[in-house]
Amino acid sequence: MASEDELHERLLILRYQAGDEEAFAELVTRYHGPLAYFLRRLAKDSATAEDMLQDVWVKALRHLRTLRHPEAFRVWLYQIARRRAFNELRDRKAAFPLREDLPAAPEDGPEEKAFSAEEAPLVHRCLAALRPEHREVLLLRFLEEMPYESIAEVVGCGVGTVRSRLHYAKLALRREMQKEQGWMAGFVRRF
Amino acid sequence: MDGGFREALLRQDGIEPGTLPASQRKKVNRLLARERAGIRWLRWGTVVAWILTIAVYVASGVPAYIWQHEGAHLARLESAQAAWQTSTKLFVLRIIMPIEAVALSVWLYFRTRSVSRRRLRAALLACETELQELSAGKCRPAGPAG
Repeated sequence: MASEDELHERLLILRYQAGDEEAFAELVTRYHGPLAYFLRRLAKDSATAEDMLQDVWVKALRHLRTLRHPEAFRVWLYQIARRRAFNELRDRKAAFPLREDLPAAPEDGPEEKAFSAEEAPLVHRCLAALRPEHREVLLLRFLEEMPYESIAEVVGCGVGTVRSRLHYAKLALRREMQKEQGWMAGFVRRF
Repeated sequence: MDGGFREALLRQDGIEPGTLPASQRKKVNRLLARERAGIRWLRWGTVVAWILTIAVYVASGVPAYIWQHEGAHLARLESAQAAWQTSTKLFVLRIIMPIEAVALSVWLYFRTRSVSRRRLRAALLACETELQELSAGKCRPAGPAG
């Protein structure tokens, strides 16, 4: 069953489809922040990210009227954003080196420790060091708390691949965070 | 994810979650206005293109000729074809105008098409049902203790 928040979002989409433009502005308010963050992490600079964000909203505005399943809005929006980011990356010949040969994530391994709000600054700094395909699944998980199935739809691969990618992305992020913490400790000791 | 992690992460990038800066709000309004204006222009363009198409055909007198000779034999049709090709300029106009009008109509259709009212009503009904289930779940009295 959908949550109140999801239902509210669905109603906003239906309102827009029925001709209420204010509903679109409300949808932008909801998604502007996470979407901007997502694109800034995938783009080379914030100006490019801003352009991409603008394009994403233009495309969403044009095609939202024909969206048949309002419950799929979030996945659909991130698909547009991801495709736009991909095109940009392809333009500057730095295509995602997508790897499908990663070993599967342990099915019944211990639950990975969740990231806390205190870790956010460190996570923010370390995200840039990750590979793009790791970064994007982590962002979808962090920003939207998307289930594996939705991430798989956005990224366009299987749920197993997403699970495995997310597992290794978290490991890589933890490694980067430890490195950064070690560097910071050394820096503090020196001064 | 831990409570507040998402918000804390967004704040690292200077983004205040759940709010839209005034500059962005302006951009959205501009976007909506541009979309509205684009559709308005397209609509007028389509109307004008169809009016011109009809005008070209009426002006060339071909419809009148065909109406007059309705049911005529092949020979008469041949002469109608000859009349059709008398003026090169009109011929070109007769070809270009309908193509332009049809192209604009198709473009307008794709720019303004929307989900059908039936689908909209069905989606609203689904939302209503889910809302009822949600409120029923909230209002359900607690079972006997133990």
